[in-house]
Formats: sequence, structure tokens, C-alpha cells
Amino acid sequence: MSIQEIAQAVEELKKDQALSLVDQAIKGGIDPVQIVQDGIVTGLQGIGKRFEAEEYFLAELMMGGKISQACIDLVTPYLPENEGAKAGTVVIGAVEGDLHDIGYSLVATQLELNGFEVHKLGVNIPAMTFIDKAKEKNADIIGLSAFLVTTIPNCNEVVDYLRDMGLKDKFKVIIGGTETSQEKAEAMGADGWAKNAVGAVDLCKKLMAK
Amino acid sequence: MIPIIEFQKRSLTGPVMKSDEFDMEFAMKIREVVQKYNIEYNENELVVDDATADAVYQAAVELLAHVGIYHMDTERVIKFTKEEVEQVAKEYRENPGKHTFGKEKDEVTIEYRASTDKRPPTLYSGSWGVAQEEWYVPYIQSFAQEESIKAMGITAGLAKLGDLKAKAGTVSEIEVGLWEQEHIKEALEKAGRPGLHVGLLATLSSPGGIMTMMAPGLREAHNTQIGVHIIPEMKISWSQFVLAKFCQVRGIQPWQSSMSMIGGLCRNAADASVGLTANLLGQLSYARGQLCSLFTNHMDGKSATRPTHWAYSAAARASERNIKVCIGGCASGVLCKSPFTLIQSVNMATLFTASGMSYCWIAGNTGIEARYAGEVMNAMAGMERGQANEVVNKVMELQSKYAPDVKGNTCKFPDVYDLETVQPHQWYVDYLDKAKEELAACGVPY
Repeated sequence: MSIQEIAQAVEELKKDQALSLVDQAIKGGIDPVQIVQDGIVTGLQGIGKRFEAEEYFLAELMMGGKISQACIDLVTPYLPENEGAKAGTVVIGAVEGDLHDIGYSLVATQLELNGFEVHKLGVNIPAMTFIDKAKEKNADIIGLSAFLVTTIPNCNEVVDYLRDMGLKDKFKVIIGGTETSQEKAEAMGADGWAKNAVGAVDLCKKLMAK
Repeated sequence: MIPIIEFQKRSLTGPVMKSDEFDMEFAMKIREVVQKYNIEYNENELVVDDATADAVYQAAVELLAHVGIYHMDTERVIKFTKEEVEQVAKEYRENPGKHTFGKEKDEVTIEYRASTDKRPPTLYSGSWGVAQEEWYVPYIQSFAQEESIKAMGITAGLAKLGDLKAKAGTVSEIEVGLWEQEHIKEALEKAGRPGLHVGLLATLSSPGGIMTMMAPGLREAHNTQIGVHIIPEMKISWSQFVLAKFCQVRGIQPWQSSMSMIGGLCRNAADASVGLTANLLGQLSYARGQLCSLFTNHMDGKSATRPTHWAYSAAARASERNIKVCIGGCASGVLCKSPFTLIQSVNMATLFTASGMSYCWIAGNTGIEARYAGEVMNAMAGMERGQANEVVNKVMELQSKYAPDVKGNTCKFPDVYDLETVQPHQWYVDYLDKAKEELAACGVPY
């Protein structure tokens, strides 16, 4: 059994094999940090490359996220403190009145694949639900998806609530969706806008680095 | 026919499932049926053949019967039997799609059309996207004044009125909606076509806002459609059922649109064609509309590509042969200072005409482009499939040649039309004439 086999099993979406290999690696005394970094994370990177090459699609990304999470859950008890730390915590959903879920699902999946802890709230989510969930999960970022001109004002509402509740500095807010733009994000006081899922990952990484 | 109230029952009793699980089931089943029915994308044959169209239909029936429709509010799956899905299609086949919109001299009947028909698709154009107050009326007028445009699929919306943002489900949505109806009427009167059908309510998105507009002097059954469509992929909420019932009670033709995205849960054009057709069948089962517009694009937003064309054609022809509802497509693209704008519209218009579509939804970005797209549809109607494929392939190549023009050259309606005379600027007409010359050289029968 080699670490590369774990990476390969994750990349090829072989869940049972990946879990079995991770279990063997732990029992075999392999460094758990190495299992995560050189095995699971490398496998995830392979999934990302296949997605970019249009060999994998949204369903494979979702599967990859679930498999890697199951593998990480297996290793976590053996990791030294602060190792395997997540890239950040994101609460994400489509704002009230908006029922489009493919776009934000893709963003959520890409974030998961890049090491973020993601809490998907679903569609048609009231402003206060985003804030309550962000507080509950101690989130770093709130992601708001709006595809209609009439639902973009509901992104403003979340930002307005955060400001009026004195929470604006506690959570970063990002927006996305067909009719949104960088200008609209700036106008409402959001912390960023991304055109697509890959851009959203870069944006979240930048916001976490601040 | 399954009554709408039965959908409520199934929404409350169907299998409980998380949205992610439904997505996975959809993605896996669509792969299975695409393989089973041997559906393959062919980049050189964008107007698909009969056998492929029939395979897409069979795969879609199986997909819908297996996965059902996901209800986002109840987190349950609305299930169908295969017999129920086939019955929906059979009822349409026996009574092909047909509906009359408009009033008096502006009345128009949209009817099911086959790919071999010499009758062209109805030019069902209209302003779209987000407009601003100062050019709202001339924008709509630019379409309404074109006699060849028989109805409008939609009119542009406003994001805000002065400082008032149109917020869904609130009074501001209604205020903006009221302003729009008043100014649509003004545009139609200026064009001398007060009875014209103006299609889908644009800015209004909440059931309350939509229902408020349906009153004498505002919007009425003869000139309005209301969106009741399934959200991709195969998801619905209470709103669609409530609005579908509202349409039935008030005699309003529902606005149905089927959408699947290439590169998402659907991997490619073959998957998307099956997704589009399953979505169509799902909508027909509860909304019972006579028209349905198809939409597909890639995850990065690109449309009018070879894969999207193939998916459109496969789904449209699947319906043409097996369902017979009126299918429409959107023949407009990016408005820019280049011949590209018209080439992209015509590119889609040629494909749609050859693929048996009944109407061309939002043809053109402005009235003059819509007129030219209509001329192409008139000339393409009845063209033999092999010849149509040659034309479509050549126009695709022409579109690729001009695609680099788009960057840095996009514009809006007031850039290309004189707002006082509501006529296009000469420099823009010159671009369109250049496009027409190039298109004619590709075999587009202007």
C-alpha cells in the first residue's frame, strides 16, 4: 500500500477502496499528515484537474467531496492539533425569492474540494437565516447567490443586517449569480464578487488571507 | 391528465431526499439512459436525425419516470410512472400545440411545426435583459414597429426605478411592475400595435407581484404569459404549482421553459438533450401549456456553441416527433459593434428553423436584427436536413471568425439606436449589412 494509491483511489472516485487504504495506512503507522496531504489532498487536486479538462463534471466533484470528507473524518482523530486545519468556514445559499441552485451548489462543491468547511443552506433563504447559521457555525464567509434582478436586493439586505447588528467585521460577504457584478458588490458593501466557481475559490482564499 | 392537486399530494408524500442526493441520482441515471439508448453528440451534424430524436425522447421518458421532480420546499420527490409520462406525451401528440395571442389586428396563432414544414417559425421577438427608464419605451418600440414580429416573448425589465430597487415579494416589485406595464402600453401605441402579445412578465418574479399585474388595463390573458417552469435540473417549488393553477383559473397561457446546463449535472450535449426533454415532459404534466422554450448553455455561460446547438436540435426534434408541443428557442446573442451580433442570431435562427421549432423566442437584440433573423427563417423553412446542416456548419465557422470581436465591443440599445427616431444608427446598419453579405456567402438564403 502506498500513499499514491490513496490519491489515485480518491481521484478515481473509488470510495470503498480509498477508505480501506486510509485505514490500512493509519494502522500501518504512516504519518497521518502525510496521508492527508500526499494522499487525500493530492487526489482532490487530481479531481480538480480532470474537471478543468472536462473529463469530470459536477456530479464527480460532488462525489469527490463526499469521498474526501469521509477519508478525512477517518484520519482526523490521529492528526496532531492544528494539522489538517480547514481553509475556512463558509455558509452559502440562494437568497430569498431565488430558486436557482446549480450555480451555488457548484461553488459550494469547489470550496469543499479546496479545503473549506461549507454549510449549504439551500434556496430561497431569508437574510436572517444566513446570519444565524453563520453565527452558529462561527463562519468566516457568507456566500449569497442571486440570479434575478429582483432578488439581488436581498443580498443587500444581508449586508445591511450585518452592518446594523454590528457584525459586518465578523463575517466577509461574497455574492454571485448571473445579474450580479463587482460594481454591484461594491455598491452594497459586500466584500467580493466572483464570476464563477473557480473565481469564488480564489476570492475566498484571498479573503481568508486578509 | 394528472390534476394539479395530485402534484400537491405527491409533493407531500413522495420519498424524502436531500437535494444533493437527488442531484446525484439525476446525474447517474442520465448517464445510464444516454448509454442505453446510444445517444451520441455529432459536432458535424447539428440538425439531428429522426433516430437520434426518438432515442432522446425514449431516454427522457425513462429518466423522468425514474428520478421524478424534486420539490425544494418539501424536500420530497414527485414520482411518476412510465405510463403516466407516456400518457402526457400521447395527449399532446393527439392534440398538437396551438394557441392564439394578441387582439384584433395584432392577433397571432402559434402552432406546432415540423422540421419539414415550409411554414416558418413565428417571429416571437422582444426586448430583453435589464433596461433603464430613459430608453425603456424606444427599446420596446424598436421591436413592436417591425411588422414581421408577430408577438413578443418578453419585454425588458428594470432593476430599479429611480432609487427604488425592485425587491421580490415586496411593494417595490409591484411599483416597478406597474411602471413597466404603463410604458409597455406607451411603446405599443407609438408603434400602432396596441393589441400585440407582450409575453412573459419580466421584472416580476413573486406570485403576489405577478398576480397583481393581471387586471384589466394592466396585463390580460390575451397578451401575457406567466412563468411556471421547472428549475434545472428537475426542481420545483410551491410557486410554480400555484401559478400554474392561477393560469388555469384565469385562462392564461403559462410560460414554460426547459433548461439544462452542459458541464454541470449533464456532462455534455447528449445528456443535456435528454435533460431538456425530461424537463419539458415534467412541465407539460402539470402546466398543460401549448408552448415551451428551450435553453441550454455551458457552465461558463457560453451559448450558441456546437454542443448547445446539437442539444437544442435533439430536444426540439424529440418533441417534434413524439410530443408535438410548440417549441421555441432564443435567437439572440451579444450586442456588440461587430457583424458578430447578427451572425450569432442568424446562426440560431437557421438551426431552430431546420429543427422544427414553432417560434423563435427573443430573436435579435434590437428590432432590426429580429427582422433580419425573421427573413432567414422564412427562407430556411422546409430546407432538407442535409442542406440545412451544411448552412448551419458554415455559419458556425463564420461565428467563430467574428467571436474575437466581442471583447471590448459590447454595447447597449441606446448605443445602436437613435432614441428620438427609434431607428438604428447608420454605422450599425453597416455592420448588419456586412454580416448579411457574409451570411449569404455561407449559403444563408437571404
